[in-house]
Amino acid sequence: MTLAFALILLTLIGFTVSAVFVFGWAARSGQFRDVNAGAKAVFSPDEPEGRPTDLFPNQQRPKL
Amino acid sequence: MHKASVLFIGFLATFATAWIGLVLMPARHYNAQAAQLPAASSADEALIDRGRQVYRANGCLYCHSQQVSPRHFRRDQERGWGERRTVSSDYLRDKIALLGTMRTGPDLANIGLRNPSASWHYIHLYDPQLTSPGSTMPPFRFLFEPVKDGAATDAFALLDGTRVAPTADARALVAYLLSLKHSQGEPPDAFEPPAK
Amino acid sequence: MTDSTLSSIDPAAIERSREERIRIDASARGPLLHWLASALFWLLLGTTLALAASVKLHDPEFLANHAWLTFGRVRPAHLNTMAFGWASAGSVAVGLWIMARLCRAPLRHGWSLHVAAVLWNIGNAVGTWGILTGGSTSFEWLEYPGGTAPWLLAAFAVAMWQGVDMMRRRPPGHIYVSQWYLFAALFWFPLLYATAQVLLIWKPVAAPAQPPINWWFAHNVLGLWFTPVGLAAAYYLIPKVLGKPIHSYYLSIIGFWSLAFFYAWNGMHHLIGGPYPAWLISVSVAASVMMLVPVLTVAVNHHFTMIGNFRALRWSPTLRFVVFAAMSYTLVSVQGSLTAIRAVNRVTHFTHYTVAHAHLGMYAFVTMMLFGAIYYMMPRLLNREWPSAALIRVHFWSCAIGVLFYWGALSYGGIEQGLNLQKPDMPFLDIVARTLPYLRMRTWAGVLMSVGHLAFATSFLLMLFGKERSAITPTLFANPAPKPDPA
Repeated sequence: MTLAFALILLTLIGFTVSAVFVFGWAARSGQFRDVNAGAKAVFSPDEPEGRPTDLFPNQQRPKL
Repeated sequence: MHKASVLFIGFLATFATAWIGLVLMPARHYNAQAAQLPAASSADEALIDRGRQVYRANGCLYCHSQQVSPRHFRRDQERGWGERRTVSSDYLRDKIALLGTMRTGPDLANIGLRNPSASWHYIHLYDPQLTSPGSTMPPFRFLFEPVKDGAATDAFALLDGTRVAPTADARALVAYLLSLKHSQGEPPDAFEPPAK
Repeated sequence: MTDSTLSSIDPAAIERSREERIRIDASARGPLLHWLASALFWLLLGTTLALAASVKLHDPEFLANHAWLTFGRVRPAHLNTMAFGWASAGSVAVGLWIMARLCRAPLRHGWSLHVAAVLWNIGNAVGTWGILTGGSTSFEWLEYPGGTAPWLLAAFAVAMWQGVDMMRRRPPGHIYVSQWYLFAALFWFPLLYATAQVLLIWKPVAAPAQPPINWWFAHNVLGLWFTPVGLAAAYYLIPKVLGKPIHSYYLSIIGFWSLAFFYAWNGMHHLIGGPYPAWLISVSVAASVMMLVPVLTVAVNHHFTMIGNFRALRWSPTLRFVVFAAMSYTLVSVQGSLTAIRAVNRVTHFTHYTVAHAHLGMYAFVTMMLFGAIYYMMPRLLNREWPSAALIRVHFWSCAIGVLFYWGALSYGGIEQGLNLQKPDMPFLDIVARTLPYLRMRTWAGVLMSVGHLAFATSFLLMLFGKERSAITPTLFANPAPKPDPA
């Protein structure tokens, strides 16, 4: 029983500590600087911003 | 970015402390209390344990709760479901907490006090319509068997004259139900172990 | 706007990006189809169990003579096959695909995900069989007997590893919000599940401590596993379908961290009025109300992204499901915050209202979001178009109307039930009798939802076994010449 608690506590501590490192890293590597550029990450040259990418089958491409 | 790191540490500390507060602390407290309980008589306990297993296996808790709400909060006491609210130490003897979250059927925290008749429970379990017309509780006929000889003392007759007797599982389940007396007596102090 | 943006992109870059996308989708095809097909199987089994359970509540003699079909076993079997078999498997598939797309990293070692799918399915089969044969643990959301956990955890470990593997290969630069949600979810779920398994099932703690742990687990599974995957999907698919970025990326970051901040303390709102110290309950009530912060953040973000583009719902199947799901997320979360308030909870607790709330979350949000994501993924995995727009429409409308009808009927019936429970002079059987019409309505709603599921299954199987053919619409990448499409 004590072993179970100890293992879980250790896992939680390990998780927390590694997450702290991750956040610190993210902050240092500039993840939070140009915030709005991040929003464009879903687009790519072949599926660029401005072009819709889904349709019902056999439907004409709409104007948006 | 120091402020952000501090904020982040705060967020994660909250997650970890949530676990400590909601999980670790109550678990340690109740484990300590349970360890202090005097042992019960073994024959009864074995039958009640088996009955608890039957209750668990058949999902009784999906319709029946086992907790009496505070008097100012709900009207459980006025319904006759208990003389006082249940507190956490009332559940120390239950190996599994079966508090339940639905009242499709009545609360059972004190059913052993409210309805101590084993034969009523057998008939009710066999076919709830026999004792409670309009009930939506399913029949548990599979917990009973036709009487082979005339010897079974807790067999009962149905309307059509056939006689059925409870199986060992049914007897255990009813023993368990009759043991449910969670808010009997004064509430033990929630943060002190009960006297030996 | 469209033309000038497209004509300024270097055609070689377009070609490279297209090939990369094809490679990523091709790498995901086998393994993720395995997971999706498995999820579909559990959806159909779970739906059957749901219908049976629903009928039994108003007609208790229905299939009542067998132990393995008693309501008390069918109901947890339904919950667990849906939560783990359908929704979690669907979340793994959708989550890994979105990760692959955002990390620009093909899935490697696809065989490991095939093995994981087999392990996952074995676990769910063992679990469902265990419940029906009387082995339920009776811990809500954890009813699969103890022997199930190793299978599920082993399978999930593979998913975690794949997530890490893709994150490590991502291109330099920004990590998109969906990647944050998914990466966190891949770690949160096993942590929650393993902890609950140890403390409740393997080495059970004393009885009074079990319900807090049970509800710490069950509620966190909603907020730290299903919600992140659902939001990750919405944050990816809405901009992807519209071709328009999320309105305020800054808000999405706030939403993520405030979810992580407040969510973990919510669990005790399942025990309001129960045998627990007031401080424990109050903390959860407060945290539940604080959830309005991340929830409204997300709602504002999605709404402002969609504003001006609602007509896209007419031509995009994915967007219909995703927007319906995203709106349901807002609704169920706000409802949750309100329901945690003691004055409300004293009436609604223990009633069918709670079941309605649970389905607004797990179905109208999580399940509909997964449907939307699958409608987007499958053509890209298979290089095929969905066979029938009519089937998709049947699916959407049956499920959308079905779940709203379900929610409305049971919420109303549940509130009435709760108010009646507060009248000590009202005989209990009268209260039960008055809930019956709503329970019957729920069965009809369930039938409607099942029709939708059958339509979905039909589409899915026709798609899976159909012939590969080149695309006739611009949604797919199989156009022979990689040139910008005319407006």
